[in-house]
Amino acid sequence: MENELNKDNLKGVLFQNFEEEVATAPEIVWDNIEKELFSQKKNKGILWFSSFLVFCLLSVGGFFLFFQNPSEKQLIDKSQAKVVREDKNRSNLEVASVKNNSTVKTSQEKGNNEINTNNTLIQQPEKQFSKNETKSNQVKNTQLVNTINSSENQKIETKIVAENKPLSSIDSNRQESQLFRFPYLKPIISGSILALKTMLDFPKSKDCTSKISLQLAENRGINVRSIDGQFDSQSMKSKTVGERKIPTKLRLHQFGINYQINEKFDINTGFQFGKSEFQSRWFYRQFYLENGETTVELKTLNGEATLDNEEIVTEIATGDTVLYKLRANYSSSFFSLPFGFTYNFNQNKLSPFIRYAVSLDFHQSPTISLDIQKNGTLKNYDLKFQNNTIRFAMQQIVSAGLDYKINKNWSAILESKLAIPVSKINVGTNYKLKSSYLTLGIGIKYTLPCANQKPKK
Amino acid sequence: MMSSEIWRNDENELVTACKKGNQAAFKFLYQLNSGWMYAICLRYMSSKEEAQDVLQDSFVLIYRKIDSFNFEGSFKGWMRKITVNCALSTFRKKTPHLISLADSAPSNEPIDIEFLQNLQLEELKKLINLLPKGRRQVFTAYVIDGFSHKEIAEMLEISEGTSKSQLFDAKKELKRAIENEYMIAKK
Repeated sequence: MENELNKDNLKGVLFQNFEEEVATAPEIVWDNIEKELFSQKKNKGILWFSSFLVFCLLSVGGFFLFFQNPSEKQLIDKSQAKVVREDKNRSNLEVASVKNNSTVKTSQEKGNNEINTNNTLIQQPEKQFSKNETKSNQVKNTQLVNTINSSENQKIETKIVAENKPLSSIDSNRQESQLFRFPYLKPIISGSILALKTMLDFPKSKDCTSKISLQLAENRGINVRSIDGQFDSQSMKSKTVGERKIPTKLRLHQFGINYQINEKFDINTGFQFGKSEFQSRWFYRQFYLENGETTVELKTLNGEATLDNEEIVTEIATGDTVLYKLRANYSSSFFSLPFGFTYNFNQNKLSPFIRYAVSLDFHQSPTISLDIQKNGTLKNYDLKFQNNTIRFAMQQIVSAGLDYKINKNWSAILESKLAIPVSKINVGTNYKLKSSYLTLGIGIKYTLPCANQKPKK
Repeated sequence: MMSSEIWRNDENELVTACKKGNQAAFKFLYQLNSGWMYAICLRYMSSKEEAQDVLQDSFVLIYRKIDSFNFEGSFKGWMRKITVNCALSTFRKKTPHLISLADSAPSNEPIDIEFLQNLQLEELKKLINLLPKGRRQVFTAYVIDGFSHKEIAEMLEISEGTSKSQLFDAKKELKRAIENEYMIAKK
């Protein structure tokens, strides 16, 4: 009889022989399985907890490090100053400024000057002073009198009477109190603990032990920069010239790494860099410099900048020439390192998500040049920054978006981000900037193939 | 009744407990099934160490994929498929050239195996182990574990034609080896 070696008759011949065959696997196999499946949860928990703890400590420490100087208001509060405001006529300007342990008297008087409002350069906010008169500046060490007269027969008089305290003692009081005034401390710590607990408690995905994805995104939006503290944009004093706040266009390039903890939570980090360029234009009747000053100092939205061109300084100081137009060309860029987590609402093809991150931002040296127009001629001058090193700041980033899964590995991302400053950018003496932004971005995400680490004996 | 007793008597309960992530249930599942699964691994792999690695991979995969088992069909069959798949995947990764280079046209030439029934298990295993690695995998998967050429082709990432030709060559070689053994035994 001839049998064919086909599947059916062989099952009768061979399968019955092999069906009941057993072999004893060594115990090490189960040990390895147990190690791979059940011990990693504990290890991961410890790892993430340690990372998160370090991150929280760094965040809080970083905040205190970069958030040292108070606003001018707090400074005045600490020195127990009394502020009295009275409205008066606004036809004269009297400014007296305080200098530590010194008395300075300056006096400048300017006549009426007409403003050419037809000039095409004027596009941004224009400040016109039809009739300004600086009568006298008298300074005492303990008293500041600031009287601004308006053309509408209203006069604002500000009297600040401060106790004669050395600035150093004010600073030390202020720094001490900052440690206990940090308003975000409690929410950040309690929020971190809650997030950590939720992440660790959430059942882990059994499909894969680790899922790492890389993300590239391009964002466009607005960057709002503002000068923190008191700022008198109406003043003609060089130190307070310019806008207090300005929104500019922002381009933000983002590279992210996500680590999937479970089906709902990812941990994110990476880097992003952004650049914003803008032009700010003001119209000034005149500046004035205090006696002995050899530079024009400008409080700009990029920092405390100075102009030391001798010709311009002399003209301003002597009052021979008035400045008609100022045009500031800003360029600033930053590099940030965010760290946060993402909550994915589902694992469907289209999945909404929300993200929270804290980022450490390195603001690179900005540039600014000033176009000054006088007598119809426009001249460009580069300004120097007093503090032109890399500056640090911290931001909280809150974002929401949609993740559209194209296939197993690729996703398209649409995300809107809002960055809120936690700390301010320290750009000069008692002078800080706040930077926030709102962007909308699109990007792609690539999920690396699942890599399971198998313990070997 | 102890949980282990319930699990021993009711496979569905055991699977359900494993699906819930019950570690004790999974250990019990391992104790119940590791014997025959290890035997499969030994059939496919050329060393005990490799077989142990495949067994480990198989149980890890079973744990991770158990949610996808929907109680349709035999759970043992499902585990068998995972084990064979793991073994063949490991084999393919380690020696991809052994099968792809041996592609040839399949043949339907019948092969006489009347004497196979008289062979003991150990003798049969010894003969199968004499086959070249690639052919042994296909032969074992097709003849012993009952997978189709399509399934084998998917697991080994080869064409169905290659699977068929490998089986044909394996049968031919096995027949020759068995005939030799048989003739020697007759003499």
